[in-house]
Amino acid sequence: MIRLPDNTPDRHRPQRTETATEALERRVLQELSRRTPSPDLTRTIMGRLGYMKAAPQVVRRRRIRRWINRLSLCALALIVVAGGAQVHESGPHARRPRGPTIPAAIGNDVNLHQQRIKGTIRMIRTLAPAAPSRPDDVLDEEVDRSAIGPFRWL
Amino acid sequence: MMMKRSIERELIRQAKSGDGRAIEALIRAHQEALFAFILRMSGRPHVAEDIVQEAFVRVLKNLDRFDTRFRFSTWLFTIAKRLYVNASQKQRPMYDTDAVSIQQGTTQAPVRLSARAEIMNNMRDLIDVALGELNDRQREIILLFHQQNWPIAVIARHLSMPEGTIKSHLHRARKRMKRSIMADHTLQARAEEVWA
Repeated sequence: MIRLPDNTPDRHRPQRTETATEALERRVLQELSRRTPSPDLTRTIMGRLGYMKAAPQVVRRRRIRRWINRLSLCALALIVVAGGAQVHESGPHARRPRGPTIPAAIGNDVNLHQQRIKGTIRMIRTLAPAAPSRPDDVLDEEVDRSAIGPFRWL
Repeated sequence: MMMKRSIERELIRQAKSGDGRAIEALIRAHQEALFAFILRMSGRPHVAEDIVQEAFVRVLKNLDRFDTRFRFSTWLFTIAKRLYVNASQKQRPMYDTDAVSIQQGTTQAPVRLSARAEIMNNMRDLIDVALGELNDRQREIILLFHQQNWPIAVIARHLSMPEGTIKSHLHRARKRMKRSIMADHTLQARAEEVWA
Protein backbone atom coordinates (compact mmCIF):
# COMPACT_ATOMS: atom_id res chain seq x y z
CA MET A 1 0.00 0.00 0.00
CA ILE A 2 1.31 3.44 -0.93
CA ARG A 3 1.65 5.82 1.98
CA LEU A 4 -0.26 9.05 1.30
CA PRO A 5 0.95 12.41 2.58
CA ASP A 6 -0.81 13.72 5.67
CA ASN A 7 -2.41 16.63 3.81
CA THR A 8 -4.07 14.36 1.22
CA PRO A 9 -7.74 15.34 0.99
CA ASP A 10 -10.27 12.65 1.94
CA ARG A 11 -11.48 12.44 -1.63
CA HIS A 12 -8.08 10.99 -2.57
CA ARG A 13 -7.98 8.36 0.17
CA PRO A 14 -9.07 4.84 -0.68
CA GLN A 15 -12.49 3.97 0.74
CA ARG A 16 -12.15 0.16 0.53
CA THR A 17 -9.81 -2.47 -0.85
CA GLU A 18 -9.22 -1.23 -4.36
CA THR A 19 -8.19 -2.91 -7.59
CA ALA A 20 -4.94 -2.01 -9.35
CA THR A 21 -6.82 0.10 -11.91
CA GLU A 22 -8.71 1.98 -9.23
CA ALA A 23 -5.50 2.61 -7.35
CA LEU A 24 -3.86 3.92 -10.48
CA GLU A 25 -6.81 6.18 -11.18
CA ARG A 26 -6.67 7.50 -7.65
CA ARG A 27 -2.94 8.15 -7.94
CA VAL A 28 -3.41 9.97 -11.23
CA LEU A 29 -6.05 12.20 -9.70
CA GLN A 30 -3.97 12.67 -6.58
CA GLU A 31 -1.03 13.71 -8.75
CA LEU A 32 -3.27 16.37 -10.24
CA SER A 33 -3.68 18.08 -6.89
CA ARG A 34 0.10 18.23 -6.41
CA ARG A 35 1.42 21.78 -6.09
CA THR A 36 2.62 23.21 -9.41
CA PRO A 37 5.25 25.93 -9.06
CA SER A 38 4.29 28.93 -11.14
CA PRO A 39 6.43 31.80 -12.40
CA ASP A 40 6.10 34.88 -10.19
CA LEU A 41 3.93 37.25 -12.20
CA THR A 42 3.40 39.75 -9.39
CA ARG A 43 5.83 42.38 -10.72
CA THR A 44 4.49 42.16 -14.26
CA ILE A 45 0.87 42.43 -13.15
CA MET A 46 1.62 45.27 -10.72
CA GLY A 47 3.50 47.02 -13.51
CA ARG A 48 0.58 46.68 -15.87
CA LEU A 49 -1.71 48.08 -13.18
CA GLY A 50 0.58 51.08 -12.84
CA TYR A 51 2.02 50.28 -9.42
CA MET A 52 5.66 50.00 -10.46
CA LYS A 53 7.76 53.15 -10.39
CA ALA A 54 9.51 54.02 -13.64
CA ALA A 55 12.49 56.33 -14.30
CA PRO A 56 11.55 60.00 -15.04
CA GLN A 57 12.96 59.72 -18.59
CA VAL A 58 10.84 56.65 -19.24
CA VAL A 59 7.77 58.41 -17.83
CA ARG A 60 8.46 61.47 -20.05
CA ARG A 61 9.01 59.28 -23.13
CA ARG A 62 5.82 57.37 -22.43
CA ARG A 63 3.87 60.61 -21.94
CA ILE A 64 5.14 62.04 -25.23
CA ARG A 65 4.36 58.82 -27.03
CA ARG A 66 0.87 58.81 -25.52
CA TRP A 67 0.22 62.38 -26.72
CA ILE A 68 1.59 61.61 -30.19
CA ASN A 69 -0.70 58.62 -30.37
CA ARG A 70 -3.70 60.67 -29.30
CA LEU A 71 -2.95 63.48 -31.76
CA SER A 72 -2.36 61.12 -34.64
CA LEU A 73 -5.58 59.35 -33.80
CA CYS A 74 -7.46 62.68 -33.84
CA ALA A 75 -5.83 63.68 -37.14
CA LEU A 76 -6.70 60.32 -38.61
CA ALA A 77 -10.30 60.64 -37.45
CA LEU A 78 -10.53 64.16 -38.97
CA ILE A 79 -9.08 62.97 -42.28
CA VAL A 80 -11.50 60.08 -42.38
CA VAL A 81 -14.50 62.32 -41.60
CA ALA A 82 -13.44 64.97 -44.14
CA GLY A 83 -12.79 62.35 -46.80
CA GLY A 84 -16.11 60.72 -46.09
CA ALA A 85 -17.94 64.05 -46.34
CA GLN A 86 -16.16 64.84 -49.59
CA VAL A 87 -17.06 61.48 -51.09
CA HIS A 88 -20.64 61.86 -49.91
CA GLU A 89 -20.98 65.38 -51.35
CA SER A 90 -19.64 64.33 -54.72
CA GLY A 91 -21.78 61.21 -54.83
CA PRO A 92 -25.29 60.89 -56.32
CA HIS A 93 -26.91 60.43 -52.94
CA ALA A 94 -25.96 63.86 -51.62
CA ARG A 95 -29.01 66.05 -50.91
CA ARG A 96 -28.78 69.32 -52.78
CA PRO A 97 -31.03 72.40 -52.19
CA ARG A 98 -33.53 73.29 -54.92
CA GLY A 99 -33.22 77.09 -54.77
CA PRO A 100 -30.12 79.22 -54.26
CA THR A 101 -28.35 78.69 -50.93
CA ILE A 102 -27.39 81.52 -48.59
CA PRO A 103 -23.66 81.34 -49.44
CA ALA A 104 -24.50 81.32 -53.16
CA ALA A 105 -26.84 84.31 -52.75
CA ILE A 106 -24.17 86.25 -50.84
CA GLY A 107 -21.64 85.35 -53.53
CA ASN A 108 -23.95 86.57 -56.27
CA ASP A 109 -24.63 89.78 -54.41
CA VAL A 110 -20.90 90.42 -53.95
CA ASN A 111 -20.32 89.76 -57.66
CA LEU A 112 -23.09 92.13 -58.65
CA HIS A 113 -21.70 94.90 -56.47
CA GLN A 114 -18.24 94.25 -57.84
CA GLN A 115 -19.54 94.63 -61.39
CA ARG A 116 -21.35 97.87 -60.49
CA ILE A 117 -18.23 99.34 -58.87
CA LYS A 118 -16.15 98.35 -61.87
CA GLY A 119 -18.68 100.04 -64.17
CA THR A 120 -18.58 103.24 -62.12
CA ILE A 121 -14.79 103.28 -62.16
CA ARG A 122 -14.80 102.78 -65.93
CA MET A 123 -17.26 105.65 -66.33
CA ILE A 124 -15.12 107.97 -64.17
CA ARG A 125 -12.08 107.09 -66.26
CA THR A 126 -13.87 108.10 -69.46
CA LEU A 127 -14.71 111.50 -67.97
CA ALA A 128 -11.09 112.24 -67.02
CA PRO A 129 -8.88 114.18 -69.57
CA ALA A 130 -6.84 112.06 -71.91
CA ALA A 131 -3.21 111.49 -70.99
CA PRO A 132 -0.52 113.02 -73.24
CA SER A 133 0.09 110.96 -76.33
CA ARG A 134 3.88 111.36 -76.04
CA PRO A 135 6.06 111.26 -72.95
CA ASP A 136 7.64 114.52 -71.70
CA ASP A 137 11.21 113.65 -72.63
CA VAL A 138 10.39 113.41 -76.33
CA LEU A 139 8.62 116.85 -76.60
CA ASP A 140 10.14 119.45 -78.97
CA GLU A 141 12.49 121.98 -77.52
CA GLU A 142 10.46 124.99 -78.69
CA VAL A 143 7.27 123.81 -77.01
CA ASP A 144 6.46 125.92 -74.00
CA ARG A 145 6.45 123.45 -71.14
CA SER A 146 4.17 125.61 -69.05
CA ALA A 147 1.56 125.27 -71.81
CA ILE A 148 1.27 121.57 -71.14
CA GLY A 149 -1.13 120.87 -68.39
CA PRO A 150 -4.80 120.93 -67.65
CA PHE A 151 -4.80 124.60 -66.58
CA ARG A 152 -3.49 125.96 -69.90
CA TRP A 153 -6.88 126.30 -71.49
CA LEU A 154 -8.84 127.30 -68.46
CA MET B 1 -3.89 27.18 -0.05
CA MET B 2 -7.18 29.03 0.29
CA MET B 3 -7.17 32.36 2.05
CA LYS B 4 -9.57 32.98 4.93
CA ARG B 5 -12.67 34.84 3.74
CA SER B 6 -12.34 37.59 6.32
CA ILE B 7 -8.72 38.24 5.29
CA GLU B 8 -9.70 38.12 1.64
CA ARG B 9 -12.52 40.63 2.17
CA GLU B 10 -10.21 42.97 4.03
CA LEU B 11 -7.59 42.73 1.27
CA ILE B 12 -10.22 43.43 -1.37
CA ARG B 13 -11.45 46.46 0.59
CA GLN B 14 -7.90 47.80 0.79
CA ALA B 15 -7.19 46.96 -2.84
CA LYS B 16 -10.32 48.88 -3.88
CA SER B 17 -8.89 51.96 -2.22
CA GLY B 18 -5.70 51.52 -4.24
CA ASP B 19 -3.45 49.86 -1.67
CA GLY B 20 -0.60 48.31 -3.67
CA ARG B 21 0.37 45.90 -0.90
CA ALA B 22 -3.15 44.46 -0.72
CA ILE B 23 -3.18 44.00 -4.50
CA GLU B 24 0.18 42.26 -4.33
CA ALA B 25 -1.08 39.96 -1.57
CA LEU B 26 -4.14 39.02 -3.64
CA ILE B 27 -1.95 38.22 -6.66
CA ARG B 28 0.47 36.14 -4.58
CA ALA B 29 -2.37 34.24 -2.94
CA HIS B 30 -4.04 33.17 -6.18
CA GLN B 31 -1.48 33.14 -8.98
CA GLU B 32 -0.17 29.64 -8.34
CA ALA B 33 -3.57 27.94 -8.30
CA LEU B 34 -4.76 29.85 -11.34
CA PHE B 35 -1.57 29.13 -13.26
CA ALA B 36 -1.78 25.40 -12.46
CA PHE B 37 -5.41 25.34 -13.60
CA ILE B 38 -4.83 27.18 -16.89
CA LEU B 39 -1.63 25.22 -17.55
CA ARG B 40 -3.57 21.97 -17.30
CA MET B 41 -6.41 23.40 -19.40
CA SER B 42 -4.21 24.73 -22.19
CA GLY B 43 -1.14 22.51 -21.95
CA ARG B 44 1.07 25.48 -22.88
CA PRO B 45 3.01 27.36 -20.19
CA HIS B 46 3.35 30.62 -22.17
CA VAL B 47 -0.40 30.66 -22.90
CA ALA B 48 -1.11 30.00 -19.23
CA GLU B 49 1.22 32.84 -18.22
CA ASP B 50 -0.47 35.31 -20.58
CA ILE B 51 -3.95 34.31 -19.45
CA VAL B 52 -3.07 34.54 -15.76
CA GLN B 53 -1.60 38.02 -16.25
CA GLU B 54 -4.54 39.25 -18.26
CA ALA B 55 -7.09 37.76 -15.84
CA PHE B 56 -5.47 39.50 -12.85
CA VAL B 57 -5.25 42.83 -14.69
CA ARG B 58 -8.92 42.69 -15.67
CA VAL B 59 -10.13 41.57 -12.27
CA LEU B 60 -8.09 44.12 -10.33
CA LYS B 61 -9.08 46.96 -12.66
CA ASN B 62 -12.74 46.13 -12.13
CA LEU B 63 -12.54 45.42 -8.42
CA ASP B 64 -15.34 47.93 -7.76
CA ARG B 65 -17.74 45.57 -9.50
CA PHE B 66 -16.81 42.62 -7.29
CA ASP B 67 -19.62 41.29 -5.13
CA THR B 68 -18.10 40.35 -1.76
CA ARG B 69 -20.76 37.67 -1.22
CA PHE B 70 -18.76 35.47 -3.62
CA ARG B 71 -15.22 34.17 -3.44
CA PHE B 72 -12.56 36.19 -5.19
CA SER B 73 -11.10 32.99 -6.65
CA THR B 74 -14.43 32.07 -8.27
CA TRP B 75 -14.55 35.42 -10.06
CA LEU B 76 -10.90 35.22 -11.04
CA PHE B 77 -11.29 31.70 -12.42
CA THR B 78 -14.39 32.75 -14.39
CA ILE B 79 -12.51 35.60 -16.08
CA ALA B 80 -9.49 33.36 -16.73
CA LYS B 81 -11.72 30.66 -18.17
CA ARG B 82 -13.29 33.19 -20.59
CA LEU B 83 -9.85 34.33 -21.66
CA TYR B 84 -8.81 30.72 -22.14
CA VAL B 85 -11.87 30.03 -24.32
CA ASN B 86 -11.02 33.06 -26.47
CA ALA B 87 -7.39 31.97 -26.75
CA SER B 88 -8.29 28.37 -27.56
CA GLN B 89 -10.51 29.54 -30.41
CA LYS B 90 -7.31 30.77 -32.00
CA GLN B 91 -5.26 27.67 -31.24
CA ARG B 92 -6.26 24.23 -29.98
CA PRO B 93 -4.84 23.07 -26.65
CA MET B 94 -1.78 20.91 -27.16
CA TYR B 95 -0.24 18.83 -24.43
CA ASP B 96 3.41 19.52 -24.48
CA THR B 97 4.54 17.08 -21.80
CA ASP B 98 8.08 18.42 -21.72
CA ALA B 99 6.86 21.98 -21.24
CA VAL B 100 4.51 20.96 -18.43
CA SER B 101 7.28 18.90 -16.80
CA ILE B 102 9.68 21.82 -16.94
CA GLN B 103 6.99 23.97 -15.35
CA GLN B 104 6.58 21.38 -12.63
CA GLY B 105 10.25 21.67 -11.78
CA THR B 106 11.72 18.45 -13.14
CA THR B 107 13.72 19.21 -16.23
CA GLN B 108 15.81 16.47 -17.82
CA ALA B 109 19.05 17.22 -16.04
CA PRO B 110 22.29 15.79 -17.42
CA VAL B 111 22.60 13.61 -14.36
CA ARG B 112 20.66 10.38 -14.48
CA LEU B 113 17.13 10.78 -13.21
CA SER B 114 16.36 8.92 -10.07
CA ALA B 115 13.84 6.10 -10.27
CA ARG B 116 11.38 8.23 -8.31
CA ALA B 117 11.68 11.16 -10.75
CA GLU B 118 11.25 8.79 -13.67
CA ILE B 119 8.08 7.40 -12.15
CA MET B 120 6.80 10.94 -11.59
CA ASN B 121 7.51 11.76 -15.24
CA ASN B 122 5.58 8.70 -16.29
CA MET B 123 2.76 9.81 -14.06
CA ARG B 124 2.71 13.24 -15.68
CA ASP B 125 2.62 11.65 -19.11
CA LEU B 126 -0.36 9.63 -17.99
CA ILE B 127 -2.13 12.74 -16.74
CA ASP B 128 -1.41 14.69 -19.91
CA VAL B 129 -2.70 11.93 -22.15
CA ALA B 130 -5.73 11.33 -19.98
CA LEU B 131 -6.61 15.04 -19.75
CA GLY B 132 -6.09 15.44 -23.47
CA GLU B 133 -8.87 12.92 -24.05
CA LEU B 134 -11.42 15.02 -22.18
CA ASN B 135 -13.51 17.80 -23.60
CA ASP B 136 -13.11 21.31 -22.20
CA ARG B 137 -16.06 21.04 -19.80
CA GLN B 138 -14.96 17.69 -18.35
CA ARG B 139 -11.35 18.86 -18.05
CA GLU B 140 -12.46 21.99 -16.24
CA ILE B 141 -14.60 20.04 -13.76
CA ILE B 142 -11.86 17.44 -13.13
CA LEU B 143 -9.32 20.20 -12.51
CA LEU B 144 -11.58 22.26 -10.26
CA PHE B 145 -12.43 19.20 -8.19
CA HIS B 146 -9.15 17.29 -8.08
CA GLN B 147 -6.58 20.03 -8.62
CA GLN B 148 -8.18 23.02 -6.94
CA ASN B 149 -10.10 20.96 -4.37
CA TRP B 150 -13.28 22.97 -4.86
CA PRO B 151 -16.39 21.37 -3.36
CA ILE B 152 -19.08 20.11 -5.78
CA ALA B 153 -21.48 22.84 -4.61
CA VAL B 154 -18.97 25.61 -5.42
CA ILE B 155 -18.21 24.12 -8.85
CA ALA B 156 -21.94 23.87 -9.54
CA ARG B 157 -22.45 27.53 -8.63
CA HIS B 158 -19.37 28.57 -10.61
CA LEU B 159 -20.52 26.76 -13.76
CA SER B 160 -24.25 27.46 -13.19
CA MET B 161 -25.07 23.77 -13.28
CA PRO B 162 -26.95 21.45 -10.91
CA GLU B 163 -24.75 19.47 -8.53
CA GLY B 164 -26.00 16.20 -10.06
CA THR B 165 -24.75 17.27 -13.50
CA ILE B 166 -21.34 18.09 -12.06
CA LYS B 167 -21.17 14.67 -10.42
CA SER B 168 -22.11 12.89 -13.62
CA HIS B 169 -19.54 14.94 -15.58
CA LEU B 170 -16.92 13.97 -12.99
CA HIS B 171 -17.88 10.31 -13.23
CA ARG B 172 -17.78 10.31 -17.04
CA ALA B 173 -14.52 12.21 -17.14
CA ARG B 174 -12.80 9.80 -14.75
CA LYS B 175 -14.10 6.84 -16.76
CA ARG B 176 -12.79 8.39 -19.95
CA MET B 177 -9.39 9.09 -18.41
CA LYS B 178 -9.13 5.51 -17.19
CA ARG B 179 -10.15 4.15 -20.59
CA SER B 180 -7.60 6.29 -22.39
CA ILE B 181 -4.79 5.06 -20.12
CA MET B 182 -5.82 1.44 -20.40
CA ALA B 183 -6.37 1.57 -24.16
CA ASP B 184 -2.72 2.38 -24.87
CA HIS B 185 -0.26 -0.46 -24.28
CA THR B 186 2.69 1.85 -23.68
CA LEU B 187 0.70 3.87 -21.20
CA GLN B 188 -0.56 0.72 -19.56
CA ALA B 189 3.01 -0.46 -19.10
CA ARG B 190 3.93 2.90 -17.61
CA ALA B 191 0.91 2.73 -15.37
CA GLU B 192 2.00 -0.67 -14.10
CA GLU B 193 5.47 0.72 -13.56
CA VAL B 194 3.99 3.57 -11.58
CA TRP B 195 1.94 1.17 -9.56
CA ALA B 196 4.73 -1.39 -9.03
